[in-house]
Amino acid sequence: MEMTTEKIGDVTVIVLPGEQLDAGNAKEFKRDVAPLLEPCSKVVFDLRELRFVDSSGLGAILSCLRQLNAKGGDLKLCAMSKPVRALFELVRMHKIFDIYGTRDDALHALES
Amino acid sequence: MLFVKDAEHLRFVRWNRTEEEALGIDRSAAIGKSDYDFFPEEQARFFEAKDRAVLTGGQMVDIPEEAIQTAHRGLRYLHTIKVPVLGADGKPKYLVGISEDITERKRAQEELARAREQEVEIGFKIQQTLLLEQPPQDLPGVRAAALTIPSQRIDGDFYDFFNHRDTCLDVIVGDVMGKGIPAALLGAATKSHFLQALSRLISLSPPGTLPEPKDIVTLAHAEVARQLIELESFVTLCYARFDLVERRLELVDCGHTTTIHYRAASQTCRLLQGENVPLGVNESEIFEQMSVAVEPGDVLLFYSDGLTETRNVQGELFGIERLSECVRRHGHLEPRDLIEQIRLEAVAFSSSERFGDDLTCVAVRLEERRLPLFRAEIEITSDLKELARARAFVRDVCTRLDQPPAEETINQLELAVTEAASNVMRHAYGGRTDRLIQIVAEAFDDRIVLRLHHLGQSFDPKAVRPPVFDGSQEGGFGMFIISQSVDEVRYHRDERGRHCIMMIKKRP
Repeated sequence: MEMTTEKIGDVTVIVLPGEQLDAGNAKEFKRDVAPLLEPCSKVVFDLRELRFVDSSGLGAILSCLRQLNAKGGDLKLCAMSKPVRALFELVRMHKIFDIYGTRDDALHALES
Repeated sequence: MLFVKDAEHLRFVRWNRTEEEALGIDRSAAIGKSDYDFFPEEQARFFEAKDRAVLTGGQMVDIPEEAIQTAHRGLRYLHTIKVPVLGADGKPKYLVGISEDITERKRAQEELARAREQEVEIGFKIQQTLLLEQPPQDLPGVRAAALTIPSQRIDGDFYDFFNHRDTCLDVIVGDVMGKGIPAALLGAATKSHFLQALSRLISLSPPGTLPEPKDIVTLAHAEVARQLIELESFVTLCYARFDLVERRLELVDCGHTTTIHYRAASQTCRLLQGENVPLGVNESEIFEQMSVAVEPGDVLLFYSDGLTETRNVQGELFGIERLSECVRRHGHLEPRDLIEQIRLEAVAFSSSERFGDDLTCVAVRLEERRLPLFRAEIEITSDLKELARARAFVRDVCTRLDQPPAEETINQLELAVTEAASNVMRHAYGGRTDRLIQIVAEAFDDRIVLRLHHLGQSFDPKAVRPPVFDGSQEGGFGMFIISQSVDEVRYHRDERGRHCIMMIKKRP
């Protein structure tokens, strides 16, 4: 799965590709995003493209958070669509993740 | 076998032939020796303690069971009687022991106990698998629920449901006299005779018509009556047919407990009782059928006498009045909630969760028959890549309705169908990607129903652990998400024997 990454200062911004992240592509996403996270410690996932996430997709994003947290890094999420936000709230993951409205807000939070 | 020891040193002075054979020790080797010379120390000490007790007590001691390690025959069990023999001075001089080898008897008893335990186990399995299947959940026009509380000793309670092209539902509830495996097997045999009689008569009936319940009972009875009479057993039974189009109940009552009819319009109960004797009583019985008008909201309650014959601590029976009063008060509830209320009341009455007899109870409620406003279906393979298609199908159905649901509702239905289908693919089909899942969507004015039919492994939703929300686990949210996205989830087998996950979303 192709992912656009952008380096802004010491923060890596990754735009999650495609409209859906479900059990059908969550494994692929996990496999392909892991090497991108490898050299980073501060990461923002830009979710602007995503319209649908299921429990497997959520599990994949959660595994990224744990991968980064394990080495003292940080992951912020931004630009979440309404249905994706609804799922995060349903399983209380909005309390586990730091979620920002815009990419700038997320970057700002990582700067300080 | 017999031995004699001197009272002072407890050495053997007599040792008979059976003793030689049983313990594998020659008389010549035994005389003058003590237990410590032949047996492990722990056993020898046990024997000595008993000997001393006999001698100081001056009385016979009966030892029902003692273990003894023999030279050639392994561990044996003896029943031994020890008697003191007093000398001229009145003090004990000898100790006489008489033993009987009870090893075989003991093993036989243990064997028997195991066999009894196994019998209860087998009876229970027969009952759960052959006699008491869960009622069908997806009958249009009817809601049914059943309760069974097995007792320590299995009864032959059974029930069965036959759905006839969604226009009629036949319910059979029966109770075999007797207990244990014989009763359970007779129940299973009777049940299969009914299925046979039904299919034989259907094949003889003109197309589009159904054989009358009384004719089905008559044919099934002809098959089982002789066997029942020979086995000196009988079966009480109700054969009930709900005609959902004509709104009638046809009932053949063969000496079964009185059926309770709750009428929603008047919120009253009436009792329905037929005249027929139980199956297996009179070989040439002519079965009569009664016909009763039923309306949507009405409930019919069938039960085994284990329920009404439950007793309280004063010895009073639970009885039909208490039961029908309970039905009258709770008749407006969903059948499964009604049955739970009945269970609670019976438990409270008898002050016990356990009952002497099996307790079986079936509630059937008539619903307003409504056809869906819209129906569509697709078939997908069990490949996770197909989840997107399942969602697209659900969205398409929703947007084609005259009054499409809100975007948020569509999102929830997409989520529910994705999680359910993904569970089927990963768990029920174990990751195989070439299996089929049929998805049916039906829209009514008050609800949208999604059904997933599959032929994979069944799974127990109750066995799923609750999700953990602290971020420490990446999985385990699927079932929770489904339960939060729709109003009701049901698991059952469909009319083709496939597993069905049914998700119901209410419409405002």
